Amino acid sequence: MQEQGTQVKMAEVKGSSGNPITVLRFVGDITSTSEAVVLGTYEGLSPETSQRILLDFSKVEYLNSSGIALIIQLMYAASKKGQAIQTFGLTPHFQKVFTMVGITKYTKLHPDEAAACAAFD
Amino acid sequence: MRRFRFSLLLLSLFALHVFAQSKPTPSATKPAVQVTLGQSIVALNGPWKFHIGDNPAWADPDFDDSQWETVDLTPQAGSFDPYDGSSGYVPGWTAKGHPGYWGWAWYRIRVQTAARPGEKLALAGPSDVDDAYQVFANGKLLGSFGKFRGQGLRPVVYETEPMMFFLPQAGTSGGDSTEPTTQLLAFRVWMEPNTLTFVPDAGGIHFTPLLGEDSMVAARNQLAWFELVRAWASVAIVAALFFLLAVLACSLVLFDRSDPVYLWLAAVFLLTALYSAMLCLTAWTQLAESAWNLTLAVFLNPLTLGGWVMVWWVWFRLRSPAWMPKAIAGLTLLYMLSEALGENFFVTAISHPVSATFHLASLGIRLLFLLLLVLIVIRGIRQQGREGWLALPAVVLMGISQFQNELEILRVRVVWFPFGTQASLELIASVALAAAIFVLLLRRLLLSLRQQREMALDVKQAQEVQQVLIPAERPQVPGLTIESEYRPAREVGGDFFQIIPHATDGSVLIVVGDVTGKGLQAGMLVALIVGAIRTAADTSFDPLYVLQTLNKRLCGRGHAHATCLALRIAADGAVTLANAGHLPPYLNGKELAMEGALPLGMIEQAEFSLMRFQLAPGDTLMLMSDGIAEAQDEQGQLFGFERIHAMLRQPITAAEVATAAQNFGQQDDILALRVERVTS
Repeated sequence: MQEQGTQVKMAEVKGSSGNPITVLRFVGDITSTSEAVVLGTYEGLSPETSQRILLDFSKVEYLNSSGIALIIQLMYAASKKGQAIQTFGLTPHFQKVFTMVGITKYTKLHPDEAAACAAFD
Repeated sequence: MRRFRFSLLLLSLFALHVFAQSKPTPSATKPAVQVTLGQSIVALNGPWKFHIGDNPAWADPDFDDSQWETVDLTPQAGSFDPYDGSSGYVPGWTAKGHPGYWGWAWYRIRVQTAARPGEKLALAGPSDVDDAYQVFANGKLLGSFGKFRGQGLRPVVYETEPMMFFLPQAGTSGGDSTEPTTQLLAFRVWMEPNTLTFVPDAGGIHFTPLLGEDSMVAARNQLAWFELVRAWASVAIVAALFFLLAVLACSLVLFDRSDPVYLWLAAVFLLTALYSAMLCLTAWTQLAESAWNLTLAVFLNPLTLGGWVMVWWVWFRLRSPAWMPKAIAGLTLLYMLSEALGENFFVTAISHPVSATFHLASLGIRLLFLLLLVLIVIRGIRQQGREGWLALPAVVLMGISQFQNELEILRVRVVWFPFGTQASLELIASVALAAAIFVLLLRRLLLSLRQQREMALDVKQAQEVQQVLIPAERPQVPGLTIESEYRPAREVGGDFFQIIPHATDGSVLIVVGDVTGKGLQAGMLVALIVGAIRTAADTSFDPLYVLQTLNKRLCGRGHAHATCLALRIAADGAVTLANAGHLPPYLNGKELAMEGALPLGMIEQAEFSLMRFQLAPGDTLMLMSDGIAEAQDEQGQLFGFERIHAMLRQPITAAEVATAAQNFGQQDDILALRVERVTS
């Protein structure tokens, strides 16, 4: 399979309580070559202004083990900074994989964006 | 006024059949070789009357030109055109008392002609003129070379091409007269100011016009065309050669995107091809005026020179000073500017002293470029030795060729004409550079092939090491049947497993895992992990201890992560299972429900999931790597967990599981390990 590059589009939405939520929308494949994009984008966020982070995987085609390791690193760094993370948009296959590798210790997996946003309240 | 007597000159010799047209003489009655004096052509060497300036009245045959200068267009023996090599070159007016003059000038000559009955006379225009001309006969315009756009406007000029003009019928209207008649032929010539900067002895007519019978002039004209084509053929070949080299360099970019030198090479080859093609186009056609050449030279030459400096900078992988590429870009822009102003592009806006100053600046910048080139190559020699020495002669030649025009003005020979075709210093330098680059690329290719062979050997050796580490034959464990199937995606795999029977208590430790990544890097990590498993097993068979030991080994090693499953099966079938993010085993076709846990190497304080269960006789455990669930077909569809569940509902071997995933579309290493408890 031809590997597609990774893009991360950043956005901000308001939760139902009016608190800002930083959304990282991943697009393409997440593999070992995505480190600069994935971790670079996260490290560019200010912990003060980005207390709530929503990860959107609905446009992700494929994640391999190196890509999953990057997501774990992101989650672990966020948990150390006290940032809350919610996740949505994963296929059932990758929901199972995320559960298997213990990511659910750092985030909950939601079926859609509305449910994920609501989980911050 | 001296009269020019037109006479019949050409002799045609017939070996066997000739017809004598001369009147018979007494001697003609005796046997003799018969010759025909017939078609003829003569060079109008002069003397011509010459005057700078412009006045339409100077075309008039009755105008008194007795006060004008007299010039002789007879070429010196051995003289030749510095550009196309044609013999018979005559210096222009700047070498005959009018240095630095550009603009209009007139040449006049009176000739007495006598055409044979039924034949017409024609004039072959000079085959090299600075830069455009009109020709008049007895005050009547015969034609022109260049585009004359009316009084007060500068004509559009082209590179001189052979031209032919028919003279009005001499003598009586019937045209059968052989009586001599006198005609006033006048050339009105225009020279562009910038011609002064690149043509030695510039100014007006450089080849004598030819007068003769029309058929002969037409034949001479055709010959002149052949000579013109031949003279520039080498340049056309170079244009084609460099275009092909540009295509080759572009294809090398596709093969190796990491090295920018191929991109620079493609750019300079393309620029050279473009410039050479343009030279041919302007020499052979009137599709492009001479000014285009000049404009192209002003932009393309600096870009090509700057490009070559960058080629060698990148070729020798020089890094310091870091500002060098910017300095080269700046120098290239300055070179363009000084060329544009120094070549008198803005004739009416810039005075001659100012343009001369910019020309000097251009000279200085080219010297600076030459210095830079030599310095870069010398540093290349220090770094890479042989490659630098191979490049040096071609680079020095190219640097010197940047001064071709100046050397020409100083009458240093920089153009040669082997077999009648042009070989300028610039052309020779370009070909020498192409040859040097070709040799260097060939050398690089051979070195690359050798490196690839060495790398293939390294991979082969790593594969052999892995075969030693990953057991090809399963150890015999009493009470258990163990089968495994390992199919790496590349030569060296990233999945691993170990089966270590206890020396005394009849238990066995089985460890299955998958490191992140593939290939040699993953294989090296596997080697590290297998070593650590063996060391840990010497101390304890506790699966949790084994995972914690491995985690300590991997933490802080950058991208060293792995999912891992360790289980100890006691002699009585009691199983202790620890998991670090790996796919849980399937017990009798059903996935064991385990809590998720982080893979190894992520954080030091990681907690791994643990469970215990009993393996009864006949029970089977299937352990797999993620390469099975993540096999993908051509549409990108995953093999997935559902297919695994469906497969394992029936009895199946490890090899069958691996084959099913591989046939679906292997993307990653595939490992399947099946354990069955049998009654001992």
